Amino acid sequence: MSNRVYEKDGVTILELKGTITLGSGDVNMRDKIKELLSQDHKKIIIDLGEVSFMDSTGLGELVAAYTTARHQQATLKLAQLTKKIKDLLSITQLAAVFESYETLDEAIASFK
Amino acid sequence: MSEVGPGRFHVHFSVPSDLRYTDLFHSVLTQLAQEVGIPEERLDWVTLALREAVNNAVLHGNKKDASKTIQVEFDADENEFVMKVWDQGPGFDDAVLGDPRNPENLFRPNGRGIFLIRQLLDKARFLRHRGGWFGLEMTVALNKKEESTQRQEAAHE
Repeated sequence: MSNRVYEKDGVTILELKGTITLGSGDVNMRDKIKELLSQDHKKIIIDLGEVSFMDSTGLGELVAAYTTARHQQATLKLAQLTKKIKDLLSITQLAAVFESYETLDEAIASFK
Repeated sequence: MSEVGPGRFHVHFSVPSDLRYTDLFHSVLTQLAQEVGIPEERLDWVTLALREAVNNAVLHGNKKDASKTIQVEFDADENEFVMKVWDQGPGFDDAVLGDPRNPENLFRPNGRGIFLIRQLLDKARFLRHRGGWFGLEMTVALNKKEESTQRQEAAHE
């Protein structure tokens, strides 16, 4: 998995690419989010548009990231979910936990 | 792959208990998918289920003990594709598995693997036999789409 972090309109965007599975991308994502929170980023969007595959470990890392952010008074939202990831969030009822948006612009606008 | 009759096959792997084999089985399944007729729209779910089962066998069944072994079997006929993943652990009572959708579990980072397998495949059951091995059998119906198409066609008649 690869990632890119950039800022737009005061919002931090973590763009992920590849797979987020046990042993591949899970620790990378966790470490990146911890790093962003330690740098006091309070508005974070995870862009999942290029994530091709996610397993239960990946889902668990998203949940952990959400709760860690909340404990640090930061807000974490999701954008550009693929159909498969939407289905996974729906099946596990995590769709009710995460604020998620079809596009990045909508996700950014939601912070205003 | 060993043919066991017309339109049927059985293939069996035995590997050291190591997470690096999860990707290998993912690749094997992707290769087999067309051969056995797993519908393309279900392939990601079938591979996800297999990955979860192999990871569970290595981590929870064999407790990361590299001296232990996991076995993976694929069986297919014209009606169904069956995957079995065996480990050398003591097994567990699946009745104790909580529903990850319950409010008290929703924010837990783990506990979704078996749930996803059950949700995404047509059948999943634990097996407790074969010389102390503990297994998970997962079944994919191969004629689901055709049945659905037939039902739609019948409805239009």
